[in-house]
Amino acid sequence: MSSRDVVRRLEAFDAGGPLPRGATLHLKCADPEDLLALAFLRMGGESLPWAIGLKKPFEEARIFAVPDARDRDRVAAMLVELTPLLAIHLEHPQWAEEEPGDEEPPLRQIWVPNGSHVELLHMLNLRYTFARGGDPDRAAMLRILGRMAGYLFREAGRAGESTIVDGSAALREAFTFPADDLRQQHLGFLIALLEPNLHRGVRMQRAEEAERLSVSTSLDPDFERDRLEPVVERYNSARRSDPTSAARHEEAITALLAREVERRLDLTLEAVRVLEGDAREMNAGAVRLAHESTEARQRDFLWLEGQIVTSGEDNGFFPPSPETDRDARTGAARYHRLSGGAETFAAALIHFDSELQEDAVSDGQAIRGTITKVEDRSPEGFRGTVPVWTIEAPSSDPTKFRRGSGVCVAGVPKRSGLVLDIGEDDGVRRVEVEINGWKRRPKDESFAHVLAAIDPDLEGTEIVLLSSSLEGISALKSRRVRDDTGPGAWLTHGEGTPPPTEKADGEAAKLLAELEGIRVA
Amino acid sequence: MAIRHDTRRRFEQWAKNPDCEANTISAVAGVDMQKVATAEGLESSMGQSPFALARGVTFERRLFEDRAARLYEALAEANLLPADSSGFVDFRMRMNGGPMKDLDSAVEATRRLLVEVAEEGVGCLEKVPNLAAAATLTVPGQPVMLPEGKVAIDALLLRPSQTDDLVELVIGEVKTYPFRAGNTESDDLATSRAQAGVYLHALRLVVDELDLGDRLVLSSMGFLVLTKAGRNDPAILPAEDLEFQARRAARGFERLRQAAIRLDPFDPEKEDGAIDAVRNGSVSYRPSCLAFCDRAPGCRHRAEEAGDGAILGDDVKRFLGNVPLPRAIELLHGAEPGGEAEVDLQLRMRSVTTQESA
Repeated sequence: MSSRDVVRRLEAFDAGGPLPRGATLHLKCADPEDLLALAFLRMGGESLPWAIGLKKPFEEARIFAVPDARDRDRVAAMLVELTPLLAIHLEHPQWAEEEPGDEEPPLRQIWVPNGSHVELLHMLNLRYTFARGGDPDRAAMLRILGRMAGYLFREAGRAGESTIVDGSAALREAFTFPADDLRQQHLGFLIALLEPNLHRGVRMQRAEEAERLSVSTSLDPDFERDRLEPVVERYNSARRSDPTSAARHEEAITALLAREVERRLDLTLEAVRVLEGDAREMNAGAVRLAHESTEARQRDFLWLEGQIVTSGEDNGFFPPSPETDRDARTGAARYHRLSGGAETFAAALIHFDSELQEDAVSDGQAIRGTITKVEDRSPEGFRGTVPVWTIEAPSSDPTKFRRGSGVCVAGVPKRSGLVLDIGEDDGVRRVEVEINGWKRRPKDESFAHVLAAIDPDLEGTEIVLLSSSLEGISALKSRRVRDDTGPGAWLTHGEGTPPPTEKADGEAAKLLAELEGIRVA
Repeated sequence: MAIRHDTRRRFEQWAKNPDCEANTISAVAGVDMQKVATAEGLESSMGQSPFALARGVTFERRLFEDRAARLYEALAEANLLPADSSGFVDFRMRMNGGPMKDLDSAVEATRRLLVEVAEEGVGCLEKVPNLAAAATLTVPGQPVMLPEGKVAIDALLLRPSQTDDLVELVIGEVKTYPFRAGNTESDDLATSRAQAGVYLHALRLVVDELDLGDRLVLSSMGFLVLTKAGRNDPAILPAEDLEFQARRAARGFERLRQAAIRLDPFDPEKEDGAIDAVRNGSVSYRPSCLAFCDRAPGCRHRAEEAGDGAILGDDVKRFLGNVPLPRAIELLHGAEPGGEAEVDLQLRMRSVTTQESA
């Protein structure tokens, strides 16, 4: 937690309630028809669901439950019912009514109350991706569920994605709450704190009441012991001998579980409502991230599913294993993509959020200053321009910029440059920056207000210089590690033939001699 | 009074917040915090799911049934035991599905097994069991205030040492949470390793006390037995380095002993007196207390009233130092600082707020 976050939390405590975090909203909510709330319940000690709920805004919830989560067959049957509903929501090709057209596919979003529900998706992934036993049709359906859950779980780990949303995390991203991190995991607690027009004491009291009710996949142990355990026992006793009585007990269990699931679904959709009702502008970067999430769904999930629908499961298309990478290059590529997610997320949002820019300034990752001089340092005879700006900023601000640092202008990501010189005098930091990207006035209408980099009218303009985005580097690395044509691929990818080891002649001999010379030196 | 016999659990409870004097007294005297919470009019919030408890019992029963056939298979697959290993001895108490009538019997039977394998060396592995459930040890050298220093090792392997003709003992910890490859909950794993580290420390003490140190090899690499997601089958994590955790346990027990010596004396056999001793101890509230201590909600309310920064999290507490929350807010609004600590705090707060106000 940065110092700035600590002070924000103190300010929220002083205000007696949550404060907006960021000048813009960082998550795009899908349209109501494309948004689905999903919640699970687990029996204590079990890893698979006991009950599941699905709900779209303005629609009735659909609840699935089994009387005893230790009955694996009943659980599997419940999951078989769930599979098509989730698959249709994610536009799985097996349930597609028509061929996809040219129009951009919608952002399909699944919201869960908190991280424990995402973990349950991983359990489904682990248990069913390679399910084989029992009825073949049922096993095939469970494998689809396993792959789908795996995709959602992996995607949830990529910062900035918009397909699977942890409701409590989304609220924490949008607000600073006056509470410790542990309490902030509780969606009900956060929503109660966000209730408007309440005295701080009343608000906190409601939040404390809300946090007594579980929102995770686990149920309250007292509720399990006092309410559920006796009925489950009666159900198990009656199951073989008295089907009528067993059915009655099953109904009672379902009713108890349904209430719990529905509460979680309602809280989740309340989180959506809070964010949709927020007056802040949607960050343009968030819109881009949402679009990229849709692309990721097509690339990482639907493409493979399409191949499996067309060619069958055992025809050269393998789902990612939930336990291992198997193929090292795939694992490496995925690692770079996931680890670059946070970079992409930050880079996409910061240009359009003044508060994030302030964070970067406080952290020395950005400079807020005024352009005091605009020059063209193009050499004689050079037909183009070499715009150089002198920017003055308070030297009391920390900075991590050095000569040679790459920078870009906040709000205009493609106007990039290079720090030529940086110095301090009389409390003023002077930075010389050569602009090398988007020197001319951009043609893009959304940047119509941006002047040419050489325009003297820029003098006197206050700007924020950001560290130039490393966005794209991870994607590049991700592609490169898959490439099996580069030098050394015989070693890293097991592709191609190794270089001759006994005898080298011609250019190769010269190169080897040169290398040996360097080695000896 | 009902002294809690589970030394390992008491130790782990203390280790979660060793700065809290009340927690230390509770651990030393074996006073259940639930009773302290009840005495303060608080509702218990640390209940355990009956289904989870039953699942734990069922998993362990299946693991050890048929002379631990299922566990043997998994251990051989993980290369923890040679393929020709055999034999199983059960030191669990009757209440846990084993044959032992009480803890003392289990301790004595465990001691006999250790002495036998130490004296006879690797040759005896053909006739003695190579796997023991709930090998029970008395932790020696504790002060009077920890009267029941006993720990039971979930699974103890006996196998030939790779370097000489001695028998090597390997500690295993059984848990029912699922193995999720690299995504297995890191806190759960850390807790399990810490528990196994306590066992290794206790085993070292016992082996030293029996003067068997040069005739037994105690492996610092243990193993965890988890479940496979959605199944009752064991998933073995075979190479868990317990050395650091054993050293942590050794340091922790020593700190606990020192803390016990410093406490005002009270009679731990008298329940009311022991509960009062816990209640009168000073507290050091942390948000993480809510995860393990029944008394934590009360401590949090007291911390709120005292303006303790911990109610906003450990980071805020560290940032504020000893400055109470209301005073920090005054400083945030520009109040005149009244000492070096307040000057420093105000400077640090200003350094991150000046940009916003500029």
